Formats: sequence, structure tokens, C-alpha cells
Amino acid sequence: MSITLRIIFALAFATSVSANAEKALPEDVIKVGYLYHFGQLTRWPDEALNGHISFCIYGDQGLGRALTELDGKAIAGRNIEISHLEKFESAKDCHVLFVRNSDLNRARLIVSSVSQLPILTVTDDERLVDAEVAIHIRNYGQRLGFRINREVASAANLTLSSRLLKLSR
Amino acid sequence: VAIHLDQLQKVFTVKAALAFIMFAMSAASPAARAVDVTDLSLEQLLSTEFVPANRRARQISDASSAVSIVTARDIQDYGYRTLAEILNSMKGLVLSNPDQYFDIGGRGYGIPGDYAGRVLLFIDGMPANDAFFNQIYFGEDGLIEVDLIKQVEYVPGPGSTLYGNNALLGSIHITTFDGGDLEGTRVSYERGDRGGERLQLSYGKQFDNSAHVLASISGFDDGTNEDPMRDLVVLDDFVTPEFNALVLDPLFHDENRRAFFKGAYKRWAFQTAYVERDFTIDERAYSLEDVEAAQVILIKDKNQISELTYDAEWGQDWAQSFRLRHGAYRYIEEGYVAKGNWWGGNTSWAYSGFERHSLIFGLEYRDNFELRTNTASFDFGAIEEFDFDDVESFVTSDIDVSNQIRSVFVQDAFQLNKRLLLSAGLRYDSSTQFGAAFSPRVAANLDVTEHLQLKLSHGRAFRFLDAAAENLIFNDSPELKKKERVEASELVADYRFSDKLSITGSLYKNKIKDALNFEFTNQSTIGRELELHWHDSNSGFNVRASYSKQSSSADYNFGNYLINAPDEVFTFNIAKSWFSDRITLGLDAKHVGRRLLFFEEEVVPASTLVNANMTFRHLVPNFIFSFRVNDLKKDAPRDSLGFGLAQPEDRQGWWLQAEYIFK
Repeated sequence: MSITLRIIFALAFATSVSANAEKALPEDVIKVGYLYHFGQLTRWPDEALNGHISFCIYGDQGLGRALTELDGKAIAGRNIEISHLEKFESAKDCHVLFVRNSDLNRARLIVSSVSQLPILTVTDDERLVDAEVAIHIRNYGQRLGFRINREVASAANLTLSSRLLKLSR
Repeated sequence: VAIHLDQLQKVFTVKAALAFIMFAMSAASPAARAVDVTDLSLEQLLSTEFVPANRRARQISDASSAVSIVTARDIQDYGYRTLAEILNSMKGLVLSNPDQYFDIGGRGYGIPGDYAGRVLLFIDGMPANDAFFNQIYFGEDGLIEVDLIKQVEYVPGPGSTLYGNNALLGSIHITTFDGGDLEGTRVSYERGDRGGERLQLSYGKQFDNSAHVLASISGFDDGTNEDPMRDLVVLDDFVTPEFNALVLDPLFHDENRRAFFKGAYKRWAFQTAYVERDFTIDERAYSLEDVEAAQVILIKDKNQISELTYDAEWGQDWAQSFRLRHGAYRYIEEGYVAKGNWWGGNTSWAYSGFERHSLIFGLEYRDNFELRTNTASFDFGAIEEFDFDDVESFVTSDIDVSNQIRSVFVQDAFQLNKRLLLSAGLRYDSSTQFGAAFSPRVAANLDVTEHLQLKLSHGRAFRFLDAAAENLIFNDSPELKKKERVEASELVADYRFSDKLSITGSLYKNKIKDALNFEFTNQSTIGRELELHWHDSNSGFNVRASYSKQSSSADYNFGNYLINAPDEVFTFNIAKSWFSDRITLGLDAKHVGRRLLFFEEEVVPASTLVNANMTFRHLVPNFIFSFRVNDLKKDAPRDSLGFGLAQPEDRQGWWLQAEYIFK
């Protein structure tokens, strides 16, 4: 077999192995997966919990569609409820607040207005990198990773699992 | 044995084809649609490659006009190397480079030699026009390397309500990467077929306490500094018996050095950008008989901007930002120096206490403390660097037209109901030199259906004379106080068929009063633009196409048309990716219609520029490689000099770029 052929076969093998191991997924689907795991790996103070766990989206509705996959699922026996925020005031009922693609000033205000409440704030908006957001999801080359701001999480009286902290960038 | 050769070849061809298909299928396996994402562990998600949800980028500005956006991914897919190439891919814009600087044109404007003084440039919010000529630099003289750019947004239409002086016809907003985007050390190298080279070193990091830094240095040399006698081109027009010398095309040589830094910690952020560009016009070939006496002219631009910002929040409803800025620009030519030094401060408050309102109120101060020109009688030749302050005795003129501008602005966005957003703004600018200007603007955004959005806006903007123009006008002339003013309206319809496909159409009209182009003129333009964007991550296609048509008039004493304003501009960009985005072929085309020059018989013919680019991503981890071929059709637009056409320039050629990130 010629060298070229060998290389082609080797490449085909290598890429098929790697492609099977990690099929590419749509960006929003991965983000929804992250939100689900963040919810699983966060402990809220007892008084903040009731029968359900509330995921709120503020801003762009795009992710909202992917999020509906979570509807009906449960975390630690609590049903997940999805809602889209239109008013600031309703943010206080959220457990996880995902802020994306919204007016920057409003986004800053909403995350700072809930910073003392037991709400896990998450964003994928790079403009909010300096804002009081507990978890930033962002692109790292071909993959999505996340960063945790421990100060913000502890100010919100949330306990993040050590596994989550370890996997954070 | 020889008889088997054919068979052998056949077998190998079949095998090779099979292998290729296998390779293609394995690498290009599409996203599994039926995946329940909650079944995947966090670790699995972290190691899963993602397919970008929608290449339709986020708009940074709050503009109601038909904004154009180019993302870092587009820059990579099409292999853009300068800000000029990025902007030239946008609908309706035409960048030209008749001499050592780029001009920008669009929506009727584009007077040759007018450079880029009626549009504002912001780099991460820092105003980046120089203080002396009020220009933007789009080429190798520009402040920023394109591979530090995350997104470029062009907002057509008047922007003075937000930005004050100079945002007459539009504003450009560049967002750069930050440390966390890079997360490592990147070395990139670029090489062109004519020997041009660029080397860039960047470092970025985001720390656990959320602080992030990014630093980059780079150098570029276009590779044309060889012996000027080598590529002699004889221009027949000038060869006369009396002038017993060959007249030859001068040689241009372009090189630059750049530095960029940005860092942020909590509410503080600082960034600075610096460029120095040396442009050499080698005219030795103009007089072969006397090479000694002939000239090599060095033109040097040095530009630097810096900004320190602090964002604060006061209680639930108030957010405030502070910005402290400084800019220094210097233009040096033989016997002439221009300096534009300034500093400024800006603070704005955002208030969200009123239900459904977003109020912003702000104050700004800008001190253009040194807008100075020196000319000297002494022949310094092609000096590398020269400071006129050191040799005052040779200085024949020293003019300083420094001035200060104080501004106050207010704007409100009112979400009347779920569908209708109304906004209004007003800004007042007062200059110690040019008097005052009011810039009002109103806009309405209406979500007619889930798919259709209409945006209507009307506004005014202004431009004070720049220091270079001011030097040409006598001190006591009333014309000194003249401002250019524009009044513009725009209607935009944005229809999204799906997440993949959208169409944007716009109708606009603008009237400019007292535009200073050779003389003070009034101009008006009406036009329409249509843009289609289709992005499908499953098939790997990304397509953007636009058509712009405009008609304009002016009251010049030589004619009632606008110079160098093409009636029609088409853009067409198509990129196709294979193997999970690892290989992308990008093709970008731009057609610019014919343009009239000073005398109606002088016409710049229509032309079509086509470029192609191939990018290979992460075939070896962290390694990106691309190859671009410019001007496939050999039909790049001829640039206009106003009184004629620039010499045709052969722009065909290739560029190769490689980058590696050390994590």
C-alpha cells in the first residue's frame, strides 16, 4: 500500500474514532446540558427551595426553544420549570437565571439586583464578563467551557459541588 | 510484471476513493439530533465539539438602522487581512485605496481624498479617530490586528446623538477578544506572494478571580523594498523629448509595528492600542539621469489610544460608567509635522427605576489640547524621525488650533408594549472653537409578527471642521464656524424566516448641508438596500448577499451629481465547511457600479473583485492554516483620485497564514 493510502486510512481511522467519542452537538443543546448539570451540582439554602426548581431566561429567546427539552425533567425530585422573564421583579423566584443577548445595561442591573439572593446566575454573554455573574459559559476553540466566579456564588449563599469547581476553567 | 501496472493503479484509485469516502463520512458525521442532553455527563459535554447555533451575530449597538456585522469566524472563513477588507464585504460600503490611505464610501458619500473623516470608529468603546485629521485608518496604518477582532459592526446613519462630533454618516464598532478567548500564547505568521510578511505574538489569560489580560505585538512588512530599478514601468504619457528621462511608476513600501493591551479586573478595565506605520514613496525612478537628486519620501503615522473604565451600580436601579481617554496622533513627512493630542472623560448613568423605561444620561468632556502643525524650510530628506521642537530655528510656521468640547446627552428607550419599543435621544455639544450643535434622534422598533420587525428612525448629526481643514481657512473667516450637518431617515424591515434564513431591507434618505468637499456644498441621497443571510450548520453553508442602490445629487458648481458615488453595489459571500468545520472554503465577491468623477466624461468603470480563501482548522490540534487568493478575476476596482484615476494596480496574489496556540 502506498504511503498516501496509509496516511488516508490512518486519518480516517483516527477521525472516526474521535468523531464517535465526541459527536459535535449544536451550541444551544450543549448550553442546555450545562444548565441542567449546574442545577444538579448546586445546593440552595433550604428556605429557597420549594416543590420545583425554576430555570429563568432573560433576554434572547433562542435558547428558550432548546430549553423546553428540560421541561418535565426533575432534579433531586424537584420538577424543572422553565420561564422567560419579562420583569425584573419576577427574577427573585428563579433558582437558575440565564442572561443572554439582552440590553447590556438592563442585563447588568438584573444580575446585580439578584446578587444577594440565592439565585445561580449564568450567562454566555462575553460583555458581562466583569458583571456579578456566577458562571460564564464561553467558547474555548471548538468546545464550550465555563468559568465560575466563586465570590459571586458565595455572596448568593449557594454551595457549588467540588466536581463543578474542578471542571471549571 | 508490467501488465499489472494498470490494474494496480485501478485498485489503488478505487481504494483511495473508498478511503476518502470513509474519511469524509467519519469526519463529517452530523450532530446526532436525537440526543437527550441530560443523559450526557458534564465531562462528556466539556469534550464535545459544538456547532455554532446561528452565525447571525449579536448586535452590540442599539441602533435602529440596517446594521452590518462581520464576526471573527467570517474573518477567518474569508481570510480578511485588514479592516478595509472587512468593511468592504459589508453591504453598500466601498473601500478604496488611491494612495497611502483608505477612503470609505457608502450611501452616496465617498469623495476621493476625503479619507474616512465622516465616520467614527470605536475599538471596545474607545474612540479611535485621530484628533488632527479626524480620520480612521483601515489598512496597515490601522490600530488593530484583525485576528484580535471578535466582531465588527457598522451602523449606517447619523450617530451624533450618542457620540457627538464626527458621527455624521455612520459608526464602526470593533469588539476585540479578551484574555479568556485566547487562553494561551498564539504565534501567527503571514506570507504573501510578493514577499510581504507579518509576525504576531499574542498572549491571553483569564484568572480565577475573573481578571483577564490580553497582550499582542506584531510587525508587518509588505516586502516591496527591493531595488526600485528592478520593476520599472514606463508611463508613455509623460515621456517627451524635452523631458529626457524615463518617468516611472514610483515604488510604494508599507510597513508597521503594532502593540495592543487590554486587561480587566472586576469593575475596572484598561486598554491601549498603538501603531506606527512607515509608508515610503520611492521616486528615484522618476529621473533616471540624476538618481542622486531624486527622492525617497517617508511618511510616518503614529497613533495611540488608551482608555480606563470603571463601571458601578448604585442600588437596584442605577448603573454608572466612567471613562477616561487619551489619544496621541502624529503625522511626519519631510518638512511637515502634524500632531493631534487629546484627552477626555465621559460618565453616564443608566436608570431602570421606571417601569418599561431605560434612561441614560451622560456628560462628556474632550480637550484637543494640541492640534498643531509645523512646517520647516530645511530639507531633511528621508529622515527616520524628526521633532520640530528641537530645531525651532528652521520652523517656518507653527499653528495650533487646540479646542475643547463639552457635551451633555440623554436618551430613553420606552417599551410601550410587547411589540413596540420607542426611543428618543438628544445631545448637545459645545466647542470653544466652532460653537454648539444639537443632535436629536427618534426611533421606533415594532415586532409586527414573530418573524417581522420594522424599525423607523430619524436623526441629525454634525461634524466640526477638522484641524487640517481649519488650517486652510483664514482665521477671521466666518466659514471657520461652519459645521457639516446631516439629517437622515431610515426604514428597516427585518424578516426572519427561520433561525437559518433572514432578509433585511432598508430605505433611507439623507441630506447633508455645508459639506466641505473642495467647497461648501449641499448634497442629498436616497437609496435602498437588501440583504439576505442564510446559515445552515448541518450542511455547513453560510451565505450573505446584498444589493444596494442609491441616487444622489449635489450643488457643486461643476455639476449636480456626487463624485465617486456608485449607483449600485453588490456583495456576495459564500462559505462552505466540511469535516465538522475543520475545512472551510470562502468566496467573497464585490461588484461596484460605475462612478462619475469631476467632469462627467470622467468615469470609473464598474468592476468586480473576487477573492477566495481556504481555511484548515485544528487538523493538528491548536493549529490553523489558511490560504487566500486575491482578485481572481483580475478586475479590482480602479481607485479614483478625484481629478482622475489612480494607476491600475495589480492586486492579484496570494497570502498564506498560519497560527499556533500554545495552551
